Amino acid sequence: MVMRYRPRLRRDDPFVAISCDNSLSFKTGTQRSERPVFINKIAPCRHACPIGIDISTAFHLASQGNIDGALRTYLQDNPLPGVCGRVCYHPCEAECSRGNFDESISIRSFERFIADHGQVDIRGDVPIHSRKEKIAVIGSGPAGLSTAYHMARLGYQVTIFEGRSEIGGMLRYGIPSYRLPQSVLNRDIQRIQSLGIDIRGNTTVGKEVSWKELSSFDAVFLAVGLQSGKILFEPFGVDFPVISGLEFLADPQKWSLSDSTQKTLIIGGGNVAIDVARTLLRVRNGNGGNITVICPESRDQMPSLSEEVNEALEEGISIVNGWAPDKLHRKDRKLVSLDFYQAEVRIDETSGTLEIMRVGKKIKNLAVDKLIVAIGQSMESDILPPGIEVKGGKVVVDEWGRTSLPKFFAGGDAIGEKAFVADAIASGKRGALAISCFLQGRDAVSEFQAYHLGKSHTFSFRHFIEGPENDSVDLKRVVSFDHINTLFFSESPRNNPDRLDPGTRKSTFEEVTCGLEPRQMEEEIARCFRCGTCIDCENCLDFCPDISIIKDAGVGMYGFDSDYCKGCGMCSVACPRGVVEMVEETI
Amino acid sequence: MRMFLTGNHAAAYGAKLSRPQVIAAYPITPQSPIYEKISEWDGQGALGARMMRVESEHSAMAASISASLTGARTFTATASQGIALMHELLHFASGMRVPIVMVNVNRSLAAPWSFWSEQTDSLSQRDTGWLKFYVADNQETLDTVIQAFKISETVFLPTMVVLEAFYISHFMEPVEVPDQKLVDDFLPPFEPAFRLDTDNPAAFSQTVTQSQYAQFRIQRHQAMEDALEVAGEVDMEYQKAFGRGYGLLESYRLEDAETVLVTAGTIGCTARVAIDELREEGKKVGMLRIRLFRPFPKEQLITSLRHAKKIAVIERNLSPGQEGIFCEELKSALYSRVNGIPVCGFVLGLGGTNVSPLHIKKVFAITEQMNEAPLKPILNIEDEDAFGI
Repeated sequence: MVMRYRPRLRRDDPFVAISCDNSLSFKTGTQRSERPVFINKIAPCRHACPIGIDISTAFHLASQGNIDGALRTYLQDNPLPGVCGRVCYHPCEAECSRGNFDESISIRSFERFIADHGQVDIRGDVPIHSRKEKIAVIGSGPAGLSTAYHMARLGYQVTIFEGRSEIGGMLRYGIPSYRLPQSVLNRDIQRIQSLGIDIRGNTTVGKEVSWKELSSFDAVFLAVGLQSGKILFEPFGVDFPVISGLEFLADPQKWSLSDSTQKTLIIGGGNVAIDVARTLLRVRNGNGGNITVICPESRDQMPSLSEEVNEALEEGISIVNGWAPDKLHRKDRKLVSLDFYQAEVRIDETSGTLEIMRVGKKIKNLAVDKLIVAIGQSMESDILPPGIEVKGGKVVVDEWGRTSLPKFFAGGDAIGEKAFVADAIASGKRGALAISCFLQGRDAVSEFQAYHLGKSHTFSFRHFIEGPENDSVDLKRVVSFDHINTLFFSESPRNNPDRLDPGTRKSTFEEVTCGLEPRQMEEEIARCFRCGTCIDCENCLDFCPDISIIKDAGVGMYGFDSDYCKGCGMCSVACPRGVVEMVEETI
Repeated sequence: MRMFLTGNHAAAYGAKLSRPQVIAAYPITPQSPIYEKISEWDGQGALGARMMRVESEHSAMAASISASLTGARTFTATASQGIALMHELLHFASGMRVPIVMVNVNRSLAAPWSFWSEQTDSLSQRDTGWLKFYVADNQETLDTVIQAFKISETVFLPTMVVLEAFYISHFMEPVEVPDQKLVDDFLPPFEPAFRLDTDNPAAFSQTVTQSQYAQFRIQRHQAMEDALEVAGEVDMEYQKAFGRGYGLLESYRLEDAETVLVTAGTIGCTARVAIDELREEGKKVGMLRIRLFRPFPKEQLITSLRHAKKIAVIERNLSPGQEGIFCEELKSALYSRVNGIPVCGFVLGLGGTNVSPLHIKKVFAITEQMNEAPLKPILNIEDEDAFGI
């Protein structure tokens, strides 16, 4: 009967192809002509950041709920995250790869968020006062604070000399508090101070302290900035009330400008001019009817940040473009009006200098009671050590910030860096590297080259401190949008911070821009591609057809099993963020 | 229990009574009512099997193979483009010796699109190593599904039960649905010789050497040859248990027939009517219906046809550039033992067109007048003058 039937082969002689062995004997690795390389790279945001902050790593830590870790990452390079989170011109966002996909990440809002919400005590992270060398920093603006901070992190003993009563330089005396609250500045400064930095306020070197007395220091960093507002019409005499924009900002209440019926002209198209106008508006309790900003540049050419210009316009400031000052009219020694000629501005791309050209014969006459000038800053002549070489109003330095005087370095506005906070901080950071190399007899050029980021002008301070062998990141390689596998991302709109309503904010010095809410920030953090930064998504592990990805291959990075990896490249394609790449096998 | 069922539902009942443990399928006209009926039972919690609603027929067969390898009794059903999509995995199923039972509802293949009955979809899978039954009515559908599990699980080869679209799938007939107990007694639980077992891990169908491959191919062929005997025995056993048997070939009024009509599927039922009428006219005519197409029952065919004077093959399929596939297979079987019987190939009913008793009588008339077998298939019997009738 049927059940008698058995396959002709016995049960132990299978009629099905079965292998109880495994396929490990097939060393498919011999088929490989390319091999995967797992290495973190630089995100475009970091590459664009003058300070070189490791933004993608910070986002990654924040995505794990580690806001403190994110802040600590920022603090590796930037001592002033609270400040930059508010006033930075965020070139990072312009280069953000996400901008090619939908909209760039709100990176500046992120910096502000982690600065406001993170709690980091960095004292334990650095060897405070572990070195005997003493460093003097002259000036406490962003460049000086940056140098002092990084030198202190390296273990040097740092003293800051500041002529004013409080430290912060332009951050405190130049940026209005509706953009940068004093409390935020103080918080960043306190953190810097906590590294055991000796701060001497009300101490102008050359007055309260002589330059000679600085000879006990092993190095001096000059970060004196540009203190004086340039004054227009000097040839016409000084007996009419021209106020420097910078001086106004340093103490807006002292200039008796609160009378809103006084026609006030502000000449200039930079951030200071806009800051002056908006500050004056607030001094006048929101009544901006008689406040006019006028400059020869067109609206697009104005050097001030466009968001500042837009906010000023929203607040009712009138901005007149394309007119340059010509003649002034006085009556009874009192200024009554100013003539402006129609102008065009040509900007020299390389030097950044302006050429103002008259066009046509039109003259605009504007009645004026008060005139504020904000057309740039200059250095006070007596602020520098005697004998130092100065050219064109700037301290002459080599590429490492060394001045003509031995042991004297300089940075920031004083050497003609870009006049942004971030660039000043970057300048201070470079100064710290240079001084440290100088004192230790190391070659600053090779040190900088070892740790500098891609083709940028900055470097990774963490790598400078820790040395090259500490993790798997190629500082020279920048991940472009082409390396992002966008299949793993879905579109989602950018979260922009709320701003106070113009009607409300114009009569108060309250901060205009609000921080992102935690929920919004969470969305922004999730939006970040984290370009070039392995986040353990394990896509490579999941997609590898040969089960040849090794999760822990040392230095916290993935690797591959050379015996079995066929070099198919799936891991490289499946990597959403450009960490895995295929290179030709060289055996 | 006697029920009034479509052929599709008869197939579904046959499957359910066989107590499968996994059913992985994808719906396609005209198979869908099988899928739907099984889904309905699944929804009621009455199926007793795990139903997998997969994303394609390719996946249905992949899932079925894997399920069967674990030792689960596995059923699936498809048609037309669906079985074409499965093609690759049909080879896998027989190569891996999994006793899956699959119902294929014969439907014409595109292009152009058509939904009616034609046998080319399953005949295109001739060499995939599956057993193939071509059934003629709803009762036979149900019974063959149950038989198929027993045959498959004995020889470790998959079986296809093929029924024609609409003529069987959607037509309702009274069907005797046997008691579950009776089926359980007939069909014991599946006990595979080898199975996927997590306690004893093994790879199935790994890469083998040339000579190993040749050996496995030969073994599969031998199993197919064995299946002929097993299928006959199972049918007899089934007859004993249920009172219904079919044989591997159905012979109808064949004893003294000089002209024999050979066919498969539903045309066999129609032919019985035509033959009865022709017999009344005194014609010595009979019918042989091929029920088992793979393995091909050559010996039985030769024995049954040895004394025929003329043979007409009527079938619902056409191999372009050759002829009807059953006709070709029949000639091949006869050639080695019996020479000289003229075999006329008729290709009728393509695309589901009707083959009536009248058509069959015409086929008989044409065949009777034929002195020499034509080399080409006869595709048109409407033009009577062409045959001098």
